[in-house]
Amino acid sequence: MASRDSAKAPCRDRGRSALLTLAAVLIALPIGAMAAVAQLRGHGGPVRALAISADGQSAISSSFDSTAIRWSLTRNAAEQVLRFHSDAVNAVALLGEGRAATAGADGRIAIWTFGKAEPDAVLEGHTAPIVALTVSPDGATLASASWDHTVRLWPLAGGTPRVLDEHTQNVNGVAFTADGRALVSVSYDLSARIWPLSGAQTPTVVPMPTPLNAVAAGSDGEIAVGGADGKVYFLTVGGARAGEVAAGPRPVISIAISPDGSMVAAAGIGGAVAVIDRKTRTLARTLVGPGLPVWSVAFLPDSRTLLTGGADNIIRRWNAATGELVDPLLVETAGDPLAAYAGDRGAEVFRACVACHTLGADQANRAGPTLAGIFGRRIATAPGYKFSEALKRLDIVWTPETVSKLFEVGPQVYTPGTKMPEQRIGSEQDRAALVQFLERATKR
Amino acid sequence: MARMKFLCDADRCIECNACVTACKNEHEVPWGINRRRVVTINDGKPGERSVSMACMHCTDAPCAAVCPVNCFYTTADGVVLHSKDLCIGCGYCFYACPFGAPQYPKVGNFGSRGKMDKCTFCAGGPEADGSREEYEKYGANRLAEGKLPLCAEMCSTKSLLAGDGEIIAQIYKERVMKRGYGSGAWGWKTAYRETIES
Repeated sequence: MASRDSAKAPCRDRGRSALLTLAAVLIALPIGAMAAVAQLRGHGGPVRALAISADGQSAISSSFDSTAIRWSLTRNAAEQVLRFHSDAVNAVALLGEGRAATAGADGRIAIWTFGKAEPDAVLEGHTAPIVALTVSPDGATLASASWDHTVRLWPLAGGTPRVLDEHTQNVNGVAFTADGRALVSVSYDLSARIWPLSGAQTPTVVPMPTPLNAVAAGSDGEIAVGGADGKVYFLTVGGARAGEVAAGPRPVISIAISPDGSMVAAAGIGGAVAVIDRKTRTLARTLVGPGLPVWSVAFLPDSRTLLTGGADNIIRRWNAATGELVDPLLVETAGDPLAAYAGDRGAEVFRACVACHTLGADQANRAGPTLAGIFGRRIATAPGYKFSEALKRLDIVWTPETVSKLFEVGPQVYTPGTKMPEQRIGSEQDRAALVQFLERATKR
Repeated sequence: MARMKFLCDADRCIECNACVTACKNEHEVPWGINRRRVVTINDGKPGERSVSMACMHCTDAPCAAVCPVNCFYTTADGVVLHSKDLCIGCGYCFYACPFGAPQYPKVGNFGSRGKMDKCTFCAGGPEADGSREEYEKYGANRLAEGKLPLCAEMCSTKSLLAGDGEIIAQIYKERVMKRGYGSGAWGWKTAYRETIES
């Protein structure tokens, strides 16, 4: 665990960091992100996690684009982009006192003080992607769930983490009970485990009929878990089943309980968010967005307003009590960025690249840099993108031939040290079609 | 064209794990990955049932809906396959699958992400049928040889059925007519959005 002393840096340094951070935000975010609407745009990839401050004034989101963003919910604007992780940022937690934790597919947890450009501390130990974070009610412990089959409990004051390693498959979710006396973890291994945090250390194992993706704990002790079968299951803190509600036909991937305990929001890959009345165990309403997976949900302290984030890269604000968007202008269909190229084989090949790259000069960087004007450009020189040192040292100019070679042999061979996932295009015709498409679509 | 499906008759599974072993052997599946597994519910208690789980090759496959790089495709036989050349190992399909099918190989360094692996219905991948490259990435392509998945062929109690959906549904209906519905055709409705009427 790295030192956390830097959290006590002098105010002068903090001011400088804040200026640098603001500058980074202004450079990195598309203009739409700064507009005063209830729609929070800024991420260049699916929004994987959301957390809202206790006063409801701010939120933090994280994304496939390897960043987290701190938002002002009163100004509806981004206030800071947190860049540290080398892969998708899957989880966030607000720690109070202007601090937050982010965790990613790189297996690391970063502890941040808002306004500083670099994390105060980095927690390392997981050996696979981390997919969920939660902080204990007393703020002393951070829990992380990982695809290395473990849960880790990190004392935030420093010290060795406790490792909970009884799951036999990926752990997908983790939550503290409201009294802080137990921790609940849910896994792909068809079980929820309730771990007492004092006394006997043996967990209560709750067998379930489906892989579990998400968990939330209510203030009254009840636990809600979301399953890959599209159902929300309710458990007592003792592990007894206490009802179930079908949220929809598709797997539930994110779940939240309103602070007043009246509602459960369960988001699924089908693009809808089920709002469940906890008291009657019925589906009260369904929030229908643009039809793309909704990866994250979080209630504001008023227990009515719900934020959702999903595969269209946008954070939306809903009235969960009525099922309406707070700003009806936000109802929009996620457009197909390649619609204008229908029938173009090169565009179809490029479809595998859309998650990370944009084409036009007016489009922002995503997890990867924009490809606008790529031909004739030296590698690792696209403005506004943080390239790895390994790429900066390479002597490559992007031409139709070098782009084709990249996908013939694969990025790990052609550009060693790249963060780009390994992808190859075996067909020579497809590589040629891709290059021809890029020549047309990336002209400035 | 046949619509290929799996059917697991939970009243017949005896948890012998032959399907798991056959799959690993046929496709030389690496250590740590099980394309198929047997899950026992209520182990040792009244109502104990075992089911053999793998990719069910769903109608309107949810894994394809979440893939950010569109690496999934459905063959003319209804088999859901994916391209390991395109997969970036993000793991989103993990969340989407009701059957715990996607497997994610552990790799040494975080910088080198592993490609997702799953049951192919013994139908290989996008490479040429029966080619060495196809075998190395996806395992054997028995379908191209006119054979059905080995897991089902090996099943000693014929709990696990694989083949044309209409034919295996008919076999199951005949069993239900004789013995009663029992615990059902596990996963059938989830995967194919239909029930088997007896």
